[in-house]
Amino acid sequence: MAGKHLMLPQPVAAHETDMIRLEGATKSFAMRGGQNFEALRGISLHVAPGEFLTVLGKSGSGKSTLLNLIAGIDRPTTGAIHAAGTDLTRLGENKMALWRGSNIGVVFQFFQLLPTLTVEENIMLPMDFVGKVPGADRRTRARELLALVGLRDQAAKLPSALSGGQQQRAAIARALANDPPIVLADEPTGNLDSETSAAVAELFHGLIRQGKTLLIVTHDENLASRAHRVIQLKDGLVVSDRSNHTAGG
Amino acid sequence: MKTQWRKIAGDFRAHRLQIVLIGIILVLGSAGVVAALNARAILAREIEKSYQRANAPDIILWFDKVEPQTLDLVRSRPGVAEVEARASGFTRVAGKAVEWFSMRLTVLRDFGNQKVNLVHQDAGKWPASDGGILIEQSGKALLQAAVGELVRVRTPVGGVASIPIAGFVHDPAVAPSTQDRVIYGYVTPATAALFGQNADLDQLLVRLQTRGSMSDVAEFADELSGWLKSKNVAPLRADALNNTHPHAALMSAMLRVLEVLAAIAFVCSAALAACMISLWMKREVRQVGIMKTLGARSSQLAWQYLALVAPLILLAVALAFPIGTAIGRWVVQYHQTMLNIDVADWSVPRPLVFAELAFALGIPFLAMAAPIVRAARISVRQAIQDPGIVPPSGPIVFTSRIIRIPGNRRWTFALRNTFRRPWRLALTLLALSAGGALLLTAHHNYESLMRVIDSALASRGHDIEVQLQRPAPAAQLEAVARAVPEVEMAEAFRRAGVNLVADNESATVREGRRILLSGYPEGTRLLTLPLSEGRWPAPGELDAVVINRHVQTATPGLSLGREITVKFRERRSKVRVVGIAEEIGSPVIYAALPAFENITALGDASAVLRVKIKGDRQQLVAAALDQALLESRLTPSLINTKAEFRTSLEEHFAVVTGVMKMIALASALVGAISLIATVSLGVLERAREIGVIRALGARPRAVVAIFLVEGGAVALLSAVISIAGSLILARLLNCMAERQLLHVAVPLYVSRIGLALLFSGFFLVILGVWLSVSRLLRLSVREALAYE
Repeated sequence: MAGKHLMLPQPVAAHETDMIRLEGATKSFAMRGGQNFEALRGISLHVAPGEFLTVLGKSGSGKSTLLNLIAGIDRPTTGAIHAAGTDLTRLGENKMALWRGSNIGVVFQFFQLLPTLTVEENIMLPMDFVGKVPGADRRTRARELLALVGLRDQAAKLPSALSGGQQQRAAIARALANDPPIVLADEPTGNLDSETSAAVAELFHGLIRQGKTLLIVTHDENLASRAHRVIQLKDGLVVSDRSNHTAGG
Repeated sequence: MKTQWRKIAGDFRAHRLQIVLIGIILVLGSAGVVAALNARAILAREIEKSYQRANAPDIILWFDKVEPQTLDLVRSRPGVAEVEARASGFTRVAGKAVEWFSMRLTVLRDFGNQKVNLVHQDAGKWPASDGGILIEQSGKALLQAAVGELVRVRTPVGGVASIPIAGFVHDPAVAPSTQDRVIYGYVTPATAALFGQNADLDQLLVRLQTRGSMSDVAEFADELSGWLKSKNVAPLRADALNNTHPHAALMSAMLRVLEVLAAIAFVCSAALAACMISLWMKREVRQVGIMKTLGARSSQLAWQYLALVAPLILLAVALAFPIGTAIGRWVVQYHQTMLNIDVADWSVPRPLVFAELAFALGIPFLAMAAPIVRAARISVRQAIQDPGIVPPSGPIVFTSRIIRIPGNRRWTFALRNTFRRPWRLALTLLALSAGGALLLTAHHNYESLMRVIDSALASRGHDIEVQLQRPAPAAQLEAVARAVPEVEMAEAFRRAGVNLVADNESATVREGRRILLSGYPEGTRLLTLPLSEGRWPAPGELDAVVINRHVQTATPGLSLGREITVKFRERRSKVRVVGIAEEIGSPVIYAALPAFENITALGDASAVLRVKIKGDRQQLVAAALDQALLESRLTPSLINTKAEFRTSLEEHFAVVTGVMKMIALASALVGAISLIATVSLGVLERAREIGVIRALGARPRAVVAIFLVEGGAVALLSAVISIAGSLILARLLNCMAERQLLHVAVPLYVSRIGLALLFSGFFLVILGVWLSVSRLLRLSVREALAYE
């Protein structure tokens, strides 16, 4: 990751020390029959730049909703969210998309690579959307990222020709396309075997060394054990927030 | 209620919009097939029967006057089924409106006891009594007169007689008055005498017991003629008739068009049904997996989905049949008027109804079977772990290599997505292109024909042609015409009916061989037809003639330089073809007046006047000309303006092109609706993919642009195929019109209106895609990512 394109200026945080800051964020969903389901019930959370945080919790505890709010994929019902120096509640749909593309790298459980584009093209597409990386440099950057995740020789292949582990690594490379300061991942190893999961975990660990702020929803103990901090959600509330002193890096 | 049925009911409720959309497509497709097949079946049967009911003659024998004993003699001849004496001639008639129309007047002795060429009552008094005229019902609109009202009829000596309309009749053996711009009138001999027409019946219409080939009929007429001669009642002429409707060629072309339409409607409908249901089933894969995990067997799942779609298909068929039948009846009604036929039986053959039912039910069920089987065979793991982004099924490796827009991944992505489902793409393209090609073909064809007509009319030289009831000296005719204001030039032509005969041929004339000989003044400025071959005769060349291409078509082997024998009454003359002219209309031989005189020996007796006018007021000058001739006691029987000739031809083409345009527009519309529906379902199918793109930073307008490029690519591809297909189809139809209808070259003209309509459809499709995607973009990224 020593290429000049990866050295994009880091945004200035809204609060001097926070890369992500939630203040009393709630999220409720209207159910059929007029009832509301509260997925998050007033969460406040501060994440420092370069911090690796894992989110644990049972199904329905609000993990994915939390991730979606931070990524600007969904909006809070009440409360404030700042990420990468921006108040997300003030962004319209277009600005949010541009902000997300620049500042957030998203890794999905099922990889979600676009099947009609080659692996390399999948990585270049977010660069096209955001336009932060100059057009002439996009292919070079995509190849550097592929080299970073060990897929340099798979660049011209379609996603369907790759194994699950390779697809997830390609998805991580795609998440880094615009050199975002924050990487969010929702069960990134949930669909992988243990050996491949370990390799992916190692890859995430490498991102910390590059100063990325990492927030991962996972059940993978190996992955969770490497985090600086582990928070536990239950019924839309943070029930535990502890530092992980055994984490490396 | 069993849980399974609850799920079906729930699916119906949850996806009612898409289900209604599929239903509409099924109804439209099936109704189109039913309409086209029903109309074709009814028309094919009724056109034939209607003409048969007219009991049209096989032979016409011409006399100075038919005596009762001649009629009895012919009736007694073995092989003769029926005989009837009649007379016919041309005059002019006007109804409430100021406009005068040419009228073919048929004189019948007894309306209540007709034997051949039967006309029957439509409205008013029947049978006609003396003192009133019966009018063929298709002329009602032109005359704007009702039963009991007076019409004005020209007398041969230049007077006008007023006569009441006794009633309207239907003559299924004539073309509609609106097309030929000719009124058909029917009177008794006593009424004919009232307005100075010859009341003597001079024709014998003969119907044979068994009609063989055309040669058999000609041979019979020849024998009959010889036999009558031996009885001292020799006919002046015997014509063996083709016994086909005057618009037989148009009718067969129209039936051919309906056949093609039925085929296209079938293909479109089947393709669309397959496409829509396959799209629908694609979305059910995950649920199939879940149900299989819960223990559902493939057969149970198949029945469950069958139960979901069956009511929709049954309802669609139940709606499509009455709609299709009604449209089919409307098409038949339209042609009933356009072709002037009697439709006595509106029923559709039962085997056809069963075939239509099998189609309407079978195609959607078959279309459904394939995706259900596919879904049922998928492994539970695959189904449940479906990431929501549908993997491509086609040759994506191939398309990923060839489709690459340098520097633009968004366009590359969009264009590759177009080929993501090759079969679905093929079906969509098929449906859209067929509709588009048909729409364009109808317009190319119509405009090619009208351009040829306009160019042919522009090269005619004259604007108005007048035919007189009785011939007059050329100088007198020209002098009268030149005195009419706005007449620039007037020339008297002569005309005579002649036959082309081979040296060894019998005296009987086959209908196709009776040809008009037109005599033109040497140095004429009003005969300016273009020649496709040869030259115009030189002055003083007595044996040289020019024929139009229609004569050449009707007489195989007749080529430039060929010597032919022309028979006028008992006179035979040998002439040489020195030129072949391009002309729309009937077969005509052109000879300069000295050559005309050489053939006919009729002397200075002109019955045709051609006039060129200064301005463009053809109708007004024609009326003034009519009046001037009447005042000089020169009664016109026919007055044709260039504009009327154009309208008449346009009406003829409308038989085929009218229905083509309507159905083409309908099928193009269905195609466009289908593409929108397909794209809408496709967009829903890829909702999660849209979510991913948005999560990667794509702004809504970037997502819309991707889908617009996809929809645009499909629409553009369809447009290209439509244009290519329409050029081939229109060329074929033009060739058919060239050979069977116009007898002049019909170059292909690409219709701008057609292209404009096609591209309007293109924008409609783009709009539909935009609306579909915009609707989905109302979902938040989270909702899109979780979309099922």
